[in-house]
Amino acid sequence: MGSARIEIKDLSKNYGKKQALNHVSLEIEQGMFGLLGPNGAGKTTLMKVLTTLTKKSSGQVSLCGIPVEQCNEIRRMTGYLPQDFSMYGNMGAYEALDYLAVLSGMDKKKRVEKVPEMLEKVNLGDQHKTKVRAMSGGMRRRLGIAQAIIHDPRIIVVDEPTAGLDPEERVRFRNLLCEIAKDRIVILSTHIVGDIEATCENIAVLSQGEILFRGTVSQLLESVRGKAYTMEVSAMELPMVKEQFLVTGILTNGSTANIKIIADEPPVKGAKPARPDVEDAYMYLMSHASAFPCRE
Amino acid sequence: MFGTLFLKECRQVLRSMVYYLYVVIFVMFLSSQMGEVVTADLDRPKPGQESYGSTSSHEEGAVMEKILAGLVMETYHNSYATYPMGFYRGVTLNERELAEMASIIEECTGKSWDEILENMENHFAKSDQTTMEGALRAQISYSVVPKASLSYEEFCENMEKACEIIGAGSSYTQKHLDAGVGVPMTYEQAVEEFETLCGKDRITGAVVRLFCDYAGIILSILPIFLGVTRCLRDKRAKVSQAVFSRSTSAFQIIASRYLANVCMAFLPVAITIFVVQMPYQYHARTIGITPDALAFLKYSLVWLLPEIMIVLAVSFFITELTENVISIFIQVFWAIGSVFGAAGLQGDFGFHLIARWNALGNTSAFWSQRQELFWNRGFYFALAVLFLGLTVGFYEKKRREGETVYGKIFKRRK
Repeated sequence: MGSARIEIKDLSKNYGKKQALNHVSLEIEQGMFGLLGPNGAGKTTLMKVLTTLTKKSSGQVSLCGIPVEQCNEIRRMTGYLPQDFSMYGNMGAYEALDYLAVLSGMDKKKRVEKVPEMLEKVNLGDQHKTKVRAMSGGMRRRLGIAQAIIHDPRIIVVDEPTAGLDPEERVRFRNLLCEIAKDRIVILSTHIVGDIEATCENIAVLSQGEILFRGTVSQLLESVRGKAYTMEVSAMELPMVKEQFLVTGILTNGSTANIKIIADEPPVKGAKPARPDVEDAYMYLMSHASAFPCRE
Repeated sequence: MFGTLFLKECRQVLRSMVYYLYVVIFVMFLSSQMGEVVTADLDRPKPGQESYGSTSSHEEGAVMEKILAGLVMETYHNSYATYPMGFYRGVTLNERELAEMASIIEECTGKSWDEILENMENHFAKSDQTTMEGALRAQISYSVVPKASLSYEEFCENMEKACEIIGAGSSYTQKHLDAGVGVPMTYEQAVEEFETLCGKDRITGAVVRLFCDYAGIILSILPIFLGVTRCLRDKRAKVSQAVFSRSTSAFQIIASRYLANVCMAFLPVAITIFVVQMPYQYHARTIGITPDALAFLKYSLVWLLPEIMIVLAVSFFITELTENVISIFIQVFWAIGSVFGAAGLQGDFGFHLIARWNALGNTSAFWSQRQELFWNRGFYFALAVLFLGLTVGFYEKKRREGETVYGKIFKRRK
């Protein structure tokens, strides 16, 4: 067995004339890895290539030293939580997890041991009889993560796992992912910057099928260091300011608005330097996409 | 692993509303056809009985008489039953066509149309037309004698002309002529038939054969719904990707689902046929015959199981391919075509999906065609395995490439 590492070299994927992934190269090591990008950036396609659910058009992809073409081997070592995961509505949590465990080739003895353990881990121990159709979005996602890890995979791929969850569920889910990532690779694909900021140190930003950035969160933040400003403008001026600058935050207060701007130079004399966050860096990166060379 | 998956799939079928509808409709259909225990036809014939039923005849003279009788009656009513493309269509002729038809009959019989009509009216006047039984008996016994000089070849040519006038799917095609006709049985024939029934069918065989005839009709349609429901369940429940990404092979996934559906579809069939057989088993003993206690199993396994298998296999294949319910329309059309495509209600198994033997008995005729039935059922068994293999292959392709035929068509339309 090779090292716990994912290598993607020059990966392209076309759907007819549409190029979903364009010569993507990435190396992913053990731990949490965040894949950030807007909707339609190609994140789900990349996740599907990694989990053998979509055939690549060209390039090389290997997981722990095994080429992605060896589907059976790859399926054994990966766990996948799809974007819109659900299970048969008439199954209870235990039954659903047990069914997917059978599909992962686990024998009865192992299932009897692992299914309750996983349900406990995702905080569904008390809900093992609850039918999937009666579960909340958060409960389904937790069941989803349980099914992704039940066969103890070395690589876990989670696609937009927190979309639609309430803040409390989201925080709980992020913590769960971090816990799981201790001894394996967890790839978190999302368009929600907050999720990445809270869980991943290593990230990549994908846009229109291309990698715009590859590095650490600190490196991404570095790119906007000294470029964040706050200033107060009148509500009347706001549309004009938005046209001229990259506005990442607006706090309206009656007829005035306190705004956060990302700019290479101080926008106006009265603008105060501010502390940039990952969302600012991401917005700056996306607005300068064409001029931004891929950072490794 | 396969066994565990199979049992889980069986449990899934048992929880499906569609399955209970399948059971209810199947049992209701069979009860409506075979609900009453009729043992009269399974008793030893007695001399002097009014009727001994009918038997199939391929003798040219008999074929000409009965086919002409049918043509005379349909021409008299100017209403011809046809089954073009398997569906019933009544045909009414215009005056010129009707005159042409009358002249064909006159050519075959050597009698004038008026004379033929007079004979027909006299025949039916002799019987009791107020009861269904009387009317039916008069119809069975009615025949029109062809002229002595008419050869069978000339008769066939005339029937071909009749077919041209009536249109496609009439009862006078060469296929119908070759299928033979029903003629009244004599006492001796009836005794011989009864001996064969006791020796070969041992009573229960004849009963379950009739059961298979009726069950075959409904089983050409009902299992489609089980197959479509199972294949679309993953899509509806958004389970596909979670299942696709597991390490179990496509063969294990599809074969376990298929086998579970085949077994669950067969289960009510086996139970119903056993229940239907029971009173006849008792009847056989009362008349001193050792019944074939396993007839229900033999017939249902050979006759009905391959049909369930092929119907499910095709519905699995089409539904996995298209990810919609189009399989229902295609297969219902296939089933209807099979019902009406057969030349008769007994035998002519050919490669029809539905094997018909709509008779309680007629044992010697059945045993002479048994081999054809075996070929038919063997063909569908092999075809079911082939479709299962194709479904497995396509499922694995979908799993690896993430695209379906429907998806590709849809994308290109955009």
